[in-house]
Amino acid sequence: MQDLYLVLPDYINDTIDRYIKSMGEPVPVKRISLQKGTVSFVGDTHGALDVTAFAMSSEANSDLICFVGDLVDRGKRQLFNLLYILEMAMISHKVIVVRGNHESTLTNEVYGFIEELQGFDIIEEVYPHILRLYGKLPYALYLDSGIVAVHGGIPQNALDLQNWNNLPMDDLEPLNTTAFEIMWNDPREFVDGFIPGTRGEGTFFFGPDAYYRFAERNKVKLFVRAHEVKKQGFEYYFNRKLISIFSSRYHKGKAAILRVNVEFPDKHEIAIVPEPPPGEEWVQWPGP
Amino acid sequence: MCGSGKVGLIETPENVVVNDQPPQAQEEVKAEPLAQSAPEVQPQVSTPPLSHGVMVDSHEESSFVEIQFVQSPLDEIIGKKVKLNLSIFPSVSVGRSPENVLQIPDPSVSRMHGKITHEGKEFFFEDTGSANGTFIFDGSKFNEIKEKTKIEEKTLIKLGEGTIVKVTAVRSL
Repeated sequence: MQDLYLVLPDYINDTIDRYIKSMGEPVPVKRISLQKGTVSFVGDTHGALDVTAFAMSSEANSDLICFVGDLVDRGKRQLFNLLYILEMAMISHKVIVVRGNHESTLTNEVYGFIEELQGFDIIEEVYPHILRLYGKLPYALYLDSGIVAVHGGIPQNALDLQNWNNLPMDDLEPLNTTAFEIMWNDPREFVDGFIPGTRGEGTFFFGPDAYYRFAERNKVKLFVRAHEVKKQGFEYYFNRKLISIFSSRYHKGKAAILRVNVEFPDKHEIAIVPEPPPGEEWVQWPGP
Repeated sequence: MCGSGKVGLIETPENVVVNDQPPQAQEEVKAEPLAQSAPEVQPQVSTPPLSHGVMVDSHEESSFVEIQFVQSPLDEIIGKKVKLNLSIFPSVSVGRSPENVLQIPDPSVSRMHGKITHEGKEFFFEDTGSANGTFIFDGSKFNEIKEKTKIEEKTLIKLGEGTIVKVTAVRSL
């Protein structure tokens, strides 16, 4: 961290507090009306600031750029990745952050974010503001053209999207089991309904039958989620109606970005973020 | 920084993905004894061919249990089906080491984890002293099995912490 010799807690807190204020009334499901255009989805970045920066550049022509959670923990520039995304959201008015399971008190201690903040010696001043942010982030993005994005998946006891509107906010772990499952569950092709997951207590796998029930009931055409490392950066499930996307380079897999035409959700593109050149640390933008 | 504290990571092959877990889940994973501390015989260089218990010809008349990988730390084998022949030997071994009839690539699965047996018209799963246990789904949760337990079509078996297999077909001759 010796290259970051000047970190001002007040400055950081100002970014976080302004972002919270800019969100307005916090809602569990962020609803956006968008009848046409392009929406880009970025999966877990986990401190991959270079991937985030690349995405902001490559997706600049999209009408909306949604970061599907897990901005911190694990990677090299966790705090700066978070702050950069928040500032870009306020500057561009088209960046949305959905909460991931790493925007939580459960994970930051084990997976690196606390350690990074301690390294800067700013944890006492900054972490309370970060926790306040976690509690205000939406669990889901819903586009009225029939596209839903969450970090994990569908919860077993709330297949009706309407019920998600009543989820409590400021729930830091979260303790609410539906909110927890939205952030932690995983899709699996050969599962019937829901079965307990292998990530631990309270997590579930959901199968195609559960997904199709959810999709039909809520008129969902495309479901976007992140949460799992994919070697190719993405994976299709359930007859390509669900796409899993991952965008960090710190997990032995490729970093991918998903671009969806909101009028025709089946028509989407997946861009793979290039690797850094040999000997370089950062992904580079295309030169002039 | 990536330290999850998950025991067994040391022997995680490059291509095995260990997903994040809520902290309470990590503590439950017990350590597998390391190879050097185990007095048992090392796997033979010439391991028996896979076909000694895994059926290749589905037309032959034999008793079998067919299983499908529903969850595995190794993405590539999710969905794979394996038909286990129980006519040659009425018992087949399940575990992480290559000498098992059904080899499970999962660091949380013991080298010798359990066995599937054929008795009368029925099939059973028995845990043979695994470190992280064997669990059978009862429709709402996975319960650890301490003794020989009957398995049939649609039974879901969780092995260790990271592998779930489904019994997709059985035939008893």
